[in-house]
Amino acid sequence: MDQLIILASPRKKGTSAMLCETLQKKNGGEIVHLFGDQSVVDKCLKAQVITIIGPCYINSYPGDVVALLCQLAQYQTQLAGKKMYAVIQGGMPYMHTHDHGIKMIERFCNTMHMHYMGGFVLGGGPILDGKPLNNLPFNGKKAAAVFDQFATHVSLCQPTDDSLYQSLEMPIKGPFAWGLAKFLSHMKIKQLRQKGINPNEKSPYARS
Amino acid sequence: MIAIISDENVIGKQLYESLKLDDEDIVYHNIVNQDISTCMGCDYCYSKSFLECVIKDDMQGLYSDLLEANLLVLTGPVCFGSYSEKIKKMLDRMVVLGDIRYGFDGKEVTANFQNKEQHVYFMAVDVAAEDKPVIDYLVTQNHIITQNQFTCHFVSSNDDIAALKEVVKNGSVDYFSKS
Repeated sequence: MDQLIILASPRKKGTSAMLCETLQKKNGGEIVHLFGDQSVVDKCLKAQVITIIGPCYINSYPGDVVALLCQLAQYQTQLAGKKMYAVIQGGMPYMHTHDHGIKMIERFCNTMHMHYMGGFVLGGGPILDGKPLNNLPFNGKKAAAVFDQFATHVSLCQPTDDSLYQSLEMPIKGPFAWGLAKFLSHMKIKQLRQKGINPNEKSPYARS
Repeated sequence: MIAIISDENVIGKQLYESLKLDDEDIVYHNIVNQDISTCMGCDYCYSKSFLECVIKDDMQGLYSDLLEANLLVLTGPVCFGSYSEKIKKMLDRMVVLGDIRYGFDGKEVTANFQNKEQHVYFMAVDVAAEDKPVIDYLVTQNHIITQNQFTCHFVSSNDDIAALKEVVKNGSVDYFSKS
């Protein structure tokens, strides 16, 4: 069965690319880069199973994914009956921050009479910056094992349940979340200072 | 100041003209034919500059209004439960208008805008019933992560503009009661 993996990140070497390669190593299939490859739509029409993997920009996939779905919507007859999985990864540790992406893909599949097979949401993805999943702090080994289970479902064309990825959510709430916000802010300010950038500057877009 | 950003040609323009008659401080941008590229995740805004976007396209003409508007009204279609491509790309590029300091909403970590007073009102035009819960979920998540007042309202391109103006005013009570 022809498997297509769409890398829906503008970056070719980041965490989304790593997830694409992890899936490909296990299941085979072709990876196509949404950004710059003009053949994405044609390849979707030929594939039987499509997995889209991309980053979370402000609570969902980048706008280019919306553009792709609108393009694909012109080919309802050819796409009907195909299977689709969705993977989205973002910085916040909370699944609800990112899971609109997989809801959008489910909605698309329902409209197109495709089979939505399930999704996978990963928090903390940018920390990896392309490194393997087991490098994720706190629950890296578990994340690698759970993603492997997801990949098995894809290889067998079986539906996956949200409870699979939801098992990875860490309880970063209350005082721990407050501390994390302070720590992340401190690190960001430190990084800017190391690059000679004043973190207290005004936005270049502020008029007054 | 109110900024209306439209990815359609009817509702936003009529709202602008109607609110302008009320002497509101208001600007209007139609982005239907504007060049808004995708955020490439290049990190220029955090590693080589202080929150400046390296992509020199039509977003450069929007940033100041997007930053300074206290009421941001977005009008456009909904695509599979998402903002349209143009509006989503614009929101993606608004990363440079974010606060470098993370926030805390009493429960979770948040990623705030620099303009913490900004209300964002999305007028979703002619939306299919099946899309409504999905886009509403996205707008709610935008609200949770930024802690800004994001709200979604479903409108028809045939709606009476005076009624829509009241919807904007009623849905943005805080903005109008302050101004």
